Amino acid sequence: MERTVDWLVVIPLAPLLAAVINFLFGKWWIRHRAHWIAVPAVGVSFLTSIVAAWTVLSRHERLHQPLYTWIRAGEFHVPVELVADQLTVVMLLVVTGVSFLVHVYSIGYMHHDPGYYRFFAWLPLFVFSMVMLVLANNFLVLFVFWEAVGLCSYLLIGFWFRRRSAAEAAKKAFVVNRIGDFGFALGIMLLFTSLRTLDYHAVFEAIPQLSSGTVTAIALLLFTGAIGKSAQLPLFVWLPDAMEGPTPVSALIHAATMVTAGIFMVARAHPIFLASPIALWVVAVIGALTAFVAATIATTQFDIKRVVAYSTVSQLGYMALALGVGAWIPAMFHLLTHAFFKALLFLGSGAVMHAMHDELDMRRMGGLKRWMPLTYWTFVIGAAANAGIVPLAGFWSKDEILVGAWVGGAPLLALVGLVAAFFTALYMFRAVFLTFHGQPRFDPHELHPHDPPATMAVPLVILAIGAAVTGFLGVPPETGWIHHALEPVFESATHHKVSLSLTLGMALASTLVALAGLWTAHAAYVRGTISPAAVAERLGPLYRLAANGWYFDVFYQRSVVRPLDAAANWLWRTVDVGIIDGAVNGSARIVALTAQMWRRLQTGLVANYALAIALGTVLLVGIYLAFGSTLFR
Amino acid sequence: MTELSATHFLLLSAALFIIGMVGVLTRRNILVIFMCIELMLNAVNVSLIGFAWELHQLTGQVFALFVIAIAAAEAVVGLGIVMALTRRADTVDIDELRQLRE
Amino acid sequence: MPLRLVAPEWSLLVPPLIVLGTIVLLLAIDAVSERAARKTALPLALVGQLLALVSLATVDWGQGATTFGVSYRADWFALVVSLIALVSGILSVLVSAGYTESGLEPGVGLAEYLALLLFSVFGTMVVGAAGDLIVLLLGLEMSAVAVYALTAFARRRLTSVEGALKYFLLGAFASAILIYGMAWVYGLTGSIVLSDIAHTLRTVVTPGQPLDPALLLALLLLAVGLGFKIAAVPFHMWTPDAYQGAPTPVSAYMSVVPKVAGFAAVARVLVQALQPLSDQWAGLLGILALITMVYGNVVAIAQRDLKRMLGYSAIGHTGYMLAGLAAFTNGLAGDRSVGSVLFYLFAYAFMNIGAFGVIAWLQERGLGTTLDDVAGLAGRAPLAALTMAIFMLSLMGMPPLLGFYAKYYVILALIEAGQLWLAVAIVVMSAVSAFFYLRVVTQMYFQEPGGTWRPVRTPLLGLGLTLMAVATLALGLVSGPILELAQHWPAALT
Repeated sequence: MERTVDWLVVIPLAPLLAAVINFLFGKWWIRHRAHWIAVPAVGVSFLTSIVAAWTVLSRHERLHQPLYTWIRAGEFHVPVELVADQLTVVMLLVVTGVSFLVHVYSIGYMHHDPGYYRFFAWLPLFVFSMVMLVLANNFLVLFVFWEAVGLCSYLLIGFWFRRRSAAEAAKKAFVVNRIGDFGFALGIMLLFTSLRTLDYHAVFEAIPQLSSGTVTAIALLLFTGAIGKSAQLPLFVWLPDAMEGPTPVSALIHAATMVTAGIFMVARAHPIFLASPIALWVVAVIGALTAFVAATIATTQFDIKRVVAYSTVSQLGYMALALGVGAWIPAMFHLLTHAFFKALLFLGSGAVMHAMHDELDMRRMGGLKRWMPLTYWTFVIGAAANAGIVPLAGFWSKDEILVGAWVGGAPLLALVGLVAAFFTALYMFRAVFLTFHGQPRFDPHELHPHDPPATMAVPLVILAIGAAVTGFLGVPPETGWIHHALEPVFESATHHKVSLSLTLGMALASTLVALAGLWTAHAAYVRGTISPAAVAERLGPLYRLAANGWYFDVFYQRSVVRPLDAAANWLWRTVDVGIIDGAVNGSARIVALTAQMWRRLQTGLVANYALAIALGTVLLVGIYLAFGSTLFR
Repeated sequence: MTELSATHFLLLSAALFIIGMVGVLTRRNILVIFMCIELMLNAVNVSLIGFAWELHQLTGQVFALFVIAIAAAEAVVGLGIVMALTRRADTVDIDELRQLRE
Repeated sequence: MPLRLVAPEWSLLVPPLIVLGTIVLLLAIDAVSERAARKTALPLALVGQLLALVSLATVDWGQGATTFGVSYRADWFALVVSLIALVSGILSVLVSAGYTESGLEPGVGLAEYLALLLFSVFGTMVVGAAGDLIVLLLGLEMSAVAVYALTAFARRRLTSVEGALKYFLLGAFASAILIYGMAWVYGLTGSIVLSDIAHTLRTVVTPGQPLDPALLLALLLLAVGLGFKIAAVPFHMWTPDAYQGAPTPVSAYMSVVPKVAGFAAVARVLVQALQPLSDQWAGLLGILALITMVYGNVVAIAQRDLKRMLGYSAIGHTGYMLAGLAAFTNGLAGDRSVGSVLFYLFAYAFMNIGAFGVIAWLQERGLGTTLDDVAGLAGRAPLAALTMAIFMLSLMGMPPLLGFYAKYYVILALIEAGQLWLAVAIVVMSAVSAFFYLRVVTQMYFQEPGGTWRPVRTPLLGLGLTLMAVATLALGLVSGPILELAQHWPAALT
């Protein structure tokens, strides 16, 4: 059932207006009142999303609002329409809900920043783009806003653009994402050339007509885009660096929403992927490997934000694994729960930074529990949810993914996931213990850590509650609320029957693994029965591999960046100096010579100019008499 | 003696127009060029009135009045620019203005 | 019979009247107190035009209502032309902000400058809404004469006066030719009302037969006069000189608005009044388009002065737009053709005023206007360099910038009209134009900076440039609705 409404546009429009107003008037008039524009706007957007979700989920209908025709020219016809189905509204709730909390948090966090108005212009602009991405109903509009969220992301990573590292990180994110987006664009073009349409519905209807080779190519190219945006192997390197942006940005964009765009896109396009078993297999393998690799790296980091960042990469890997094994609903379920606990963890580490005067190194923290009880408890909830401790959110969704992988014909990948889960619990509690437990490794007389002010504390508490209870949306497994809500979207996908014993077995296994990780962390960083340094020593090269991010950055630097630099330099020298300035080759030389000759016609004498007009008249008469009206026709 | 007809007006007008045009093309004094342009505009007025006379309408005559107004407006701005020029360059020879070329 | 006075439909006239009121207010304040005028003129000119822009929404353009008899037509075409003129006017005032703050001689009126600029905007709006030849001519002259004066505004500098003088003399010359053509049209059809002319011509002209020589003469005279206004080759020669000589913000303005007036006049005269002769003039415009785009783009390569280069590039763009009109045929394809040209003008306003605006921005900082002056800009002022790069790439026609859509729609109109080789010419010439547009970009990004750099604050100019860059980036997203609006008109022609 589909119903046309006219209020859906409020969801993107409110943040867009806020962004425009703050951008235009922020610098001179609004300044430190910018949040009064942005926060209510995103609030309105969130409330409207709730209405949309309620309508869609309770009445089982799709909402639809045609806006206008973007390009109407011959065969190529691109209408811009907003469409909200079950998948969309779940994303909408996550995006606008978390955005709203992050906006509120930012009031306190960004309070002293001179770019306050600018921040509250970019942030709603991001919300607008993300919401449009989610509400799109064809691939071209999806692509446009895919790029737009990318743009906002770079603007916000480079928010402190005077800091060299921030500018570098923004550049890196830009370049790495271009690689993914290039594939994505190719995929969309291939889709258009083979089906002559980009409308979701029409595309999905027409998929069976395509040869399996074409479908596989399209699916893999589309997934390339997801690899870039959702930071999968081997393009994940930009995400940890993106932590140079303000912490609320990390929470919103680089954890809860934008990076999940890739996951969302694959889920949205699931009929294409379902038609290509090879593509699905690739998605699953890349997801599982990402989950494992990123988890090992996270275990070796000392920068609290980078730990959480690698954890994000790892969790996105789980989601990709779920997509690849056809566990569509668990993937979206994990996306939902992850949004809560990861935003919470980022905002929590932001609170720590705030209290510690921008200190990020966990080796110079410790014992903070005593001064920051609220931050501590919310952070612990987030960490436990991330680690998959019963009964917090992450447990339920991660468990379903592992079950899905097991029954989806990839038990090996499920095992990889289990191993990664051990590291997840290990690095999460390592962060908790290093930061909040033990003796302070800084001078408490100099720094006076304290819990954050209300605007920052309230979002923490709300997110903590979310991280604790959203898991129950998926209880009981396979038949929870979330499954009923999303079922209509994934009707075409096959469902594996899952036996109770398998569910229980997997739950038990993952709980044991998580507890093992927790125990290891406790032993190493609280009781001290295991010496981390000795373990690192013992593991030697393996440890260095993880600590250096599996050498991906080094590899890119040596094999891509440097050769490219050289090539660009060479190209510039030959193309610009050689061709454009020197006009060395044939056609260019002729054009340049003609230009030199013709410019002499412009003598600077008015009489000559007037003569040109007179002669031109004669010329026109002559042309007309010679060719008559038959010319051109 | 033939009767006066529109053709006579039009011939006179065409002659004046061409004289003006040739003047614009050949003269070097800015003021003379400008007068030649005025001549062309007045040639147009003769045409307009000739047509109006032939068609027994007022429209053409009204048109001519507006053309006179336009010519006046152009004269004001044009002479203003010439004034500015003479202050800076002390010349009214159009061929000496060749800084802007090619 | 008692005399009956008929009041004009004031409601149709609100937008131009607001502009006119702003002009009167500007001059009145200037007359009372020059000090007050220096303070208030800029905001006043901005607010006045913004109000006029908003008031466009109060008129029901769909009716095609007329007032002053049929001399003034409030139809879709009038709306789109007013829209482009006002938007360009606002952007030009923003671009002028830096110049008028520092570049004017003391005592030389800022208010006068802005009043002249607004006069020209007003004239352009009148051309758009003209219902007969007299009103059209008045509007056209109003938009041009004001710009003659503006060109000479830096009167201490000889080049400014020289450019103005050339522009003025040739403009008056071309006007005389244009009016002569109008006189002939009047004489041959017995009317100056555009729709009546079309009506009469339809009964006179039989398709396929050679044209009455007198009518042909009239058509050619009109083509020459209008060709001058839009700077089509070979009537273009004033363009580079005037653009280079004028103060940069004036160059920005006159590269767009008088051209809008010119194209509006071409559309009103050729498409509306002389529609029965469309077979003849479409062919003529096709030839002019080809010569114009080739000449403009090729000669631009040899330029080192940026303003002069943009002058030639403007000629090239005139060629593209003329090609759009050359695609005119009766029926649906005709709507496409006029619509594509209006869209082109709309897009052109943002990127061209923007490009000149960046040059004005550089001049504020003590640099000149040659290619060497933009060298290394990316290191000095990354944002300004990025903005300029956006304008250059858009003028070049790179997707997905606004300039790409403009060319795309023109090419599409040509393909639908079956004039493939003009479409091919546009593509080839876009490639040629890459030579000089990209050279600016490489200069900015790969060269070492030279010259002295004097940091100053120009907030309004900066705001204007940002707006134009964002528009150039993003307005492509709403190209569909804008094009649709621009295509509305010919349906209400008859």
